[in-house]
Amino acid sequence: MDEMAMLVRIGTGDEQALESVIRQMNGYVVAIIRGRSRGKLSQEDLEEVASDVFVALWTHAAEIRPGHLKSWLASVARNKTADRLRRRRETVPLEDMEITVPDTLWHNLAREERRERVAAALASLSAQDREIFARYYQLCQSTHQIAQAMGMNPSTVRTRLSRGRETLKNFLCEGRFDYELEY
Amino acid sequence: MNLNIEDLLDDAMLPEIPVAPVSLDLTERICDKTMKKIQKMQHPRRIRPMRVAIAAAAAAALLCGSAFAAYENGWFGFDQVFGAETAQVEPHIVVYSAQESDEAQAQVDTTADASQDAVTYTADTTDYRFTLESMLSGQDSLYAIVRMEPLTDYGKSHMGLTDQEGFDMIASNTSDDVGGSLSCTLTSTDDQASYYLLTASGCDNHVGDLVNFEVLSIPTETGETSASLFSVALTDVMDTEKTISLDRAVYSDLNYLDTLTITPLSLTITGWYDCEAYENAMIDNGDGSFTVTMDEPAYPKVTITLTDGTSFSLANGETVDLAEYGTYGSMNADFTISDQTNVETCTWTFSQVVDLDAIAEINVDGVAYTLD
Repeated sequence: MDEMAMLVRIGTGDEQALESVIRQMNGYVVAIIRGRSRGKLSQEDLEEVASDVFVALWTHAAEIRPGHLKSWLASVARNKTADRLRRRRETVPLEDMEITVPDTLWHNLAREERRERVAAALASLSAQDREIFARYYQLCQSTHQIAQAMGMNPSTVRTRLSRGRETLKNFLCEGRFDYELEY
Repeated sequence: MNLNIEDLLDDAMLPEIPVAPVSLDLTERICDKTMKKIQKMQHPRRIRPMRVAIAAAAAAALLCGSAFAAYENGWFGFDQVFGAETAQVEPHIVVYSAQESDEAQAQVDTTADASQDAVTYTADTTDYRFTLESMLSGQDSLYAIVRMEPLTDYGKSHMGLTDQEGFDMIASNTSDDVGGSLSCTLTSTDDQASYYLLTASGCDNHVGDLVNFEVLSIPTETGETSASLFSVALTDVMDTEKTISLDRAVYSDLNYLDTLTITPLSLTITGWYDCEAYENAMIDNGDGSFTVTMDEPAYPKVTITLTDGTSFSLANGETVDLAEYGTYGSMNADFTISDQTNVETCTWTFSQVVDLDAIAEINVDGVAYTLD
């Protein structure tokens, strides 16, 4: 069944459809929770967070744009993991999560334009760098884990992440208010 | 302005990265938990019926003398949580709420000497008034009862809020770095007042510490909001405890338990979990997935047996067995591993007071220990 039909079924209260998504996506959701918590959540907490993610899917299925289920689950999994860690007063130091752009620039960009610029930035990266980005920012893997998975040195991963961020920033700021850039 | 890259990439088409499949058991548990939560949403949480609560109060009154009169005047106290077992911890319960009836106040005062100079802690949000009723603290666990009364028509029509309606309230010790795991349980509700039992498990309480009461989220007519309610200094911390040295021989050097501490309110196990070894125990399968060759951090398997044969489980080796307040078991648990020291700490906050003299055996990961 395609994603749109699945979301419609969940949105109308079809528990079987939800169960089907859980079986299909729980490996992905659990990987993100594990990555984001860096082993600081117990198995119990991990399962609670994972189930909270799918409960959120149950209540918000109608709001998810078809084709974006995975990224929506990733976003909710990251946020719910962060909430759980915060409640436990645990901190997971995450590096390089932000880039700085001028306020005026960002507010002047329409939502669609922002999307296009991010897409263009990613398209300009090599396939390998896109994979590093996906592993680091979507799956929340550590640079150590990425290095192991891709057969690289961790410092190479960090360098490529840094270049990727610079590319992203340049695309977002392209042609506008360059004098305002904050480095 | 700072933009979060994760948020920026939410809509982006990133390459599919294969992830390690999870076990069938884990899938079933996540499925089961999700479905139970959904069922709860569809069938609102059943609140303990009033007549049961009154019956419990009557039973407690026979033993404690004061509880039933207090309850008749609309007070939900620890006797409603622990029943007759409240007697074990009575001297440590600090009562804050001002009672409408002098008689009730007098009755309440007999349950806690510290209440004689009690200060009332009350805070208002747009639609509700929150009042601290009473608090009970051990060294690693905290219980507090908070009353919520409606101030507006919206409040009146939205009583008995739970997390399903986006309500969350916490009581946390602000004086230490270890806040612990925080829980909020609706214990009683009608159109006049809702009562909540707040717990903190795995905290580090000392007399003089400030406990912060916060509403993390509460629905209003215009959307969700949050509020800081009040800060209350701990005036009593129960320090009764017994300690057992656990058998190190049954564990590996990388992941072991060594000490168990039990109080009438909680059980804590400390040990060691080598986080660095865990990182190194992840073997790259070459397809983007990893195989972990070391046990993941998990609650140990713990069962307590009382001399009358009653037995209850706190955790089954993977997950915590939670019990409703007033029944033997744990209503909140906390698991932490220190970054700096790799010290692992598991704390269970009991849902019923446990008489340490009535413990026959504590079984941890298959090894039986006695308190002698």
